[in-house]
Parts: sequence; C-alpha cells; structure tokens
Amino acid sequence: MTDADRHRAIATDGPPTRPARLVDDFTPALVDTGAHHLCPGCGEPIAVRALMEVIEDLALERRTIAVFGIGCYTAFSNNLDVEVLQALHGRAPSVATGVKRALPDTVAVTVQGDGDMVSEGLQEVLHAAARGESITCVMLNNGVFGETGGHMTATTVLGQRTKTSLEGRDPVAHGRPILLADLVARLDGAAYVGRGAVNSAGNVARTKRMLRRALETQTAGAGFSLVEILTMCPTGWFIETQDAPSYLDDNLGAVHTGGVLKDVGAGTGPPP
Amino acid sequence: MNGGRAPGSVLVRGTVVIDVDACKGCELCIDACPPGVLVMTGHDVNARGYRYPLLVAGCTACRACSQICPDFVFQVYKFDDPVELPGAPPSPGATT
Amino acid sequence: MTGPAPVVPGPAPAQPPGEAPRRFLMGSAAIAEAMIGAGCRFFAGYPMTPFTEVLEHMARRLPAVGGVCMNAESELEAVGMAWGAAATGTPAATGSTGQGLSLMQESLAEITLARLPLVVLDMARGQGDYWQATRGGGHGDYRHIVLAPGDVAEAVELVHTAFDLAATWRNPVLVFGDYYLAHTARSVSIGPDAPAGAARPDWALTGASGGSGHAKLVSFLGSAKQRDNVGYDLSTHYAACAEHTARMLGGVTPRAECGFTDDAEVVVVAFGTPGGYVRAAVRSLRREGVAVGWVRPVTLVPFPSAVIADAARGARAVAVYENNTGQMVDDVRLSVLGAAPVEFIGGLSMDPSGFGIAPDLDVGVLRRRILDVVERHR
Repeated sequence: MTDADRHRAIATDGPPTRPARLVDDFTPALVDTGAHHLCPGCGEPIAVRALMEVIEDLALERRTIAVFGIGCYTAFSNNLDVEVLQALHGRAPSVATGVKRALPDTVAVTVQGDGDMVSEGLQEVLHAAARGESITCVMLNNGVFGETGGHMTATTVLGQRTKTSLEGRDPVAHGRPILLADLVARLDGAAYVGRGAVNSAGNVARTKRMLRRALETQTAGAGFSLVEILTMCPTGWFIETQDAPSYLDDNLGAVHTGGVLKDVGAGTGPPP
Repeated sequence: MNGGRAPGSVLVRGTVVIDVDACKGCELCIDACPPGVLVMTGHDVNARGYRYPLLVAGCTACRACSQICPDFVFQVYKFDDPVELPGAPPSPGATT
Repeated sequence: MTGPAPVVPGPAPAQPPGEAPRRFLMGSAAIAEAMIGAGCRFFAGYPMTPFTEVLEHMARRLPAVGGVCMNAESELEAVGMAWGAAATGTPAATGSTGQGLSLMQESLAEITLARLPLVVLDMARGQGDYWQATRGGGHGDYRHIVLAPGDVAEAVELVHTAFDLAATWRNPVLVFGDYYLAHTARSVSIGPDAPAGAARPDWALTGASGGSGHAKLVSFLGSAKQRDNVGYDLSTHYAACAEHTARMLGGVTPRAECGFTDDAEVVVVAFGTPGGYVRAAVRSLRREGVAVGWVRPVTLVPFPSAVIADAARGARAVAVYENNTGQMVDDVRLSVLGAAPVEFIGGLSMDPSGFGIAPDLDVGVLRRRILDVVERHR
C-alpha cells in the first residue's frame, strides 16, 4: 500500500476537474523558473518570491531595476522577469544609487545577504540611508555566510556556531552582532525600516506588507527604505532542515527582533 | 458535531497541484498549512530521493503552502463552490 | 607686499575659422568641460590630489546641463555609483589618483566583465601608476584602453576620444593624467556641449523590459545558463569576454607622436607630461648636431609597439624616461625585441609633496642623461 493510499490522499498531479480558479501558480509571474540549487528549506527563495509578488501587485515591474549582491540568492539574478544589475559583494547600495540618480523614475531595489550588506558593505548601506537615497534595500539575513559554507558574519548571534566560531560566537573573541535595521533606523535619511521573516506563512504575509510599504515609500520619493528579512539556513546553522523555522525564532529572531522600526508614513498599503 | 455535515466528511474549498519531483523534503508546508491537510510521505520518495507532501481532504486554498515553499512546488486552486468530501479532519501538523 | 605680481596673459592668438571659441582654462577645468562636451552626464568621485579640482568643476557644471555629480563617501562608492549610472546607458565617468584607483580595482575589473562603457580619470602622482593603469590593477584577465595626454590641449581631445571608444567597445577607457595637467592653464577650444538625448543603447537598463518575458540583465557573470538551465555558465562568458578583448585591442589604432627618428642614433621614449620635456631636450640636442630622436606614446593600451620598433631600427640605443623606477621600459623592450639596447634614464619624482612634481623634470637634466646614453653607445 502506498503512502498516498494509506492517507486516502487526494490526487494532486493535475488541475482539478471541478470548476475552480488558480489562486497561486508554481512561480509568480516575475520569477522565470522555480528550479534552483539552493538547499532544502532555504529561506531565500521564499523571500525572493515575496518581493517579486509585491512588485507585481504594485505594478512596478516595468520600472524596477533590481541590484543584486553576491550570496546564495545570486542564483536568482538571471532568473527574474525584472531588469537586474549584478553588483559585487557589499556594493549594491552605491550601484543602486547610481541607477536611481541617473534614472529617478525607476524603482531601484537591492537584494543582499547579511554577509554582503552588514559585513562587507556596511559603509555602503549606511551612507545610502544617511543620504536618504530613494532606493529600497532588502537584506536576507540568515546570520551566516551561506554560500561559502557557513561562516560568521556581522549579524551572527552570540552562541551561534559557525565554521569561524566553532564553540559559538563569543563576545570577547568575536565581538557582538550588529542589528542592522536598528542601526539604519537611527539615521535621519531612513524613511521606512522593517524587519520580517519567512519561517512561517504568517511571517511571510507580514513581510510582504513591509515590502509593499517600503516600495511605496520609494515611489512617493520619501527617502531610503530597508526591509531586513530573517531567512532559514539549516545548512549554515548545522541543524536539521525541519528544525530551522524554530531555530530562527529562538536564535536569530530573539536578537534581531521583528517589527516596523521606522515609518514616516508615506506608504498606503495595509500595515504589517 | 462536524459542523452540521455528515459524519466522516469535511468541507473542502480548494486543492493543490504538487510538483512532486521539485520537492526537496523540507516540510515547511506541513506546519504552514492551517487546516493541517498536508502530510509527508513516509516510505515513498520522489525522483531525487526526497519525501514529499500528500494532500488529504480539507484544503481551504489559503495559499500558505505556495507562499512558504522554497521550491515552488505548489499550484493552488480555489473551487467556485466548496464541496464536502469524505475524510476525518486531521489534526494540524500530522506526519506519517 | 602681497606676493609676486600676477602674470597677465597677452592677447589671445587669432581664432582659427570654424573652431569653437578658445578659453583660458586650468587643466582640471578643461578636462571637466571636455567630459561634459563629450556627453558625460554622470560623474562620481572622492576628493584626492590632484583629482580634486576635476570633481569640483563637475559638481559646479554638471547639474547645469542636467547631469548628476556625486561626491561619494569613498572611492569604492564613487565607482559603484558610476557603475550603476553606466548600466542605464548614461555616459558616466569617475576617477581619482592612483591611490584612489587602488580602492576601485575590484569594481573596475568586474565593470569590464559586465561590458560597460566607463571613462576613468587617473590624475596620477608621478608615473608610478603605469602598471596599475595598463595591466589593470584588478583581478582577472581584462584590459582597459589607456590614453595618455601630453598637455591640456591633448587632454581635451583625448577625453572626447575616451567617451567614443568606451561607447564603441563597451569597455572602460582610462585617461592617464597628472598634477601638471591638472594645474597648468592653457588656452583651449572645448567646442559646444554634446546634444542631449542621444539614443540609449539596446542593452541599457531602464526598467522597461520588466514583465516582458525577456527582462534585461547586466551582469559580470554574463547571461549564459548552465546545461540544466539553472545558474550561470561562467566559462561561456569568460570566453566571450576574451574574444571581445582581442577584437578591441586589434580594432583600436595605437597612437604615438615622434620626431627626428629617421636618422636617430638614440631614440628617447616618454609619455605624458615628461614627453614634452624630452621633446624639448631632443630639439635642443639636435641644434647642437646630436642625432637623437623622440617617441611619445599617446595610447598606452594598445601600446604603439610598431612605432617604437620602427623608430629603433638603425638606432644604437633606446632610452626610456619616466617618473617611476622603470615600468613602461618593459613595454619598450618588448617593442624593440633586442634590435637595440634599451636603457632606463628616468627616476622617481623626488618632490617632498609626493604629488609627482619632479625637480628632475628639467630639460638640462634630460640633456645630460640623453648625452650620457649617446656617449656610451658611440
């Protein structure tokens, strides 16, 4: 007896024969293909999907230029139906600044990881925020350098084990994490700063509302916006895939706490 | 008992198409599903060797699975009219 | 007493017909005006001597013609901003001195792999940045076209050339200047500003192709996907870039100026500002009957090897004068290929400021060094 028989599972190998409408396709319109080589349970594709769906909902796809940093998520830079400019590790905010200053009617969005934005590129995001550049920076924060195999970044939390903090991050040996969204929110040029997560459907929905607010802040010309999105990285956390959502809440999310840190009120969508 | 429905039946508002071979067995969908109608296979695996989700009666077309899945495994359909199907409402988070 | 009396320039030389009005401009201003005249509408930089005044002039002039000038918070961000603007098809430039260019190298390497046009000004301190400019100080196997003006008037011309070449080849072009160029005033004809609204190239990003099914991508990783249609195929991209580089190097005509080389016993090679001093020293020696000649490379990449080889034919020796410990001399040796001995007669600029204003950049000093080579190769 197959598992399907045992559970009296419903056939899911084709569209329903009953009258029905499609409410979510395999991939959103702005993602070309769902196939990728990222790890099982990786949070980054979830965040990319969320961002692309918000861009589509706001009908911004014909104005968007997405500037990608370097990390596992770079796998999506040649897989989107929005214009993409590939930047170097840490350097997306200055590149997005050049795009937006040259073409102010575009919607400039960066997609960066925590290693990219907070380790290598901390200066770039802080200066862009201070200048109040009308760009939206999106940070996929999993607290590790995932693509290189799981090393400590500036956001790795105390006690978190990585290949460069084998006994757990120690404040004396390794210093303390930088809470990037909190840091940016203190800059006068920052107009919208939110921190979400993708470890539950509810968090994904909340994060999408933050992304919407951030993009509306940009299109209103109200200043710099940042959405930090906590993502799962069971490989870089050296844990079982199925434990990643709760590990995120218990470890990363306990330090990098979720919520809206700043909002000058330029957005019109529903509050997260 | 059972919301006025016949015993052993559950109200179903939608269904999903599951791209079985795209699944990498992460199980995010299992906990994400509010009515708990996704269950992982136990023995059966897909072409890449991963276990994958099965759908039992009770889908509400809420799109939690498609929104949380990192591998774009799900299509979600909402029926024009809800339908009663045989099945006991399983407890959320059920596995094999 | 408030200081030396100001030098009042005499009446301007007669204006040649059809030429744009001449203006008496400091080199930095002339370079800035030339960039604007060539169509540059985005400039980003960080203050550093002797590049600073170019940034100042662009900050003052670019907004007036509808362009953007950014004083970035670091050289890294300056080149990043120029990268973003260039990707939109906006004619863009950045620059610094050699030290600042050191910071920009990773980005310059990848901008080249992304096939973007960009003009980069190296207002160098001395000539120790020759290798950085011509070999590329960044990683990987890329090439930049490098132009070396000898004076302010040539800088105005070469800045225009730089923007043309960058757009034609979709490749960064570096203009190698120095302190003298920045701080020498000269009467130059800049010409009218380029008309605005030139057509944006097909590859340029504007956002508009989003949602079409074929959204544009500008990436130093290329655009080819691997066999399973997932991920980048870098090998395809690197092969295409290598092929493009070869076409570019073969398609740009090397430029050099020379004089008195037909019967020269010793040929002296120098680039940039020292080229003018070498020319003066050679002329002075010729008036005394010494059979010397000079070659001044104007394109450093592609290097004018054929011109130098030609000039060296029949010569007893080739001397290279440059303000460093010997960098271009290697390229001269490769050009001469053993036909004559190649001697380095240059040296570091020994001024206390470190800005490359060499006390030994002096016609008298050069005459003695050239004569020494002549004597030893009789």
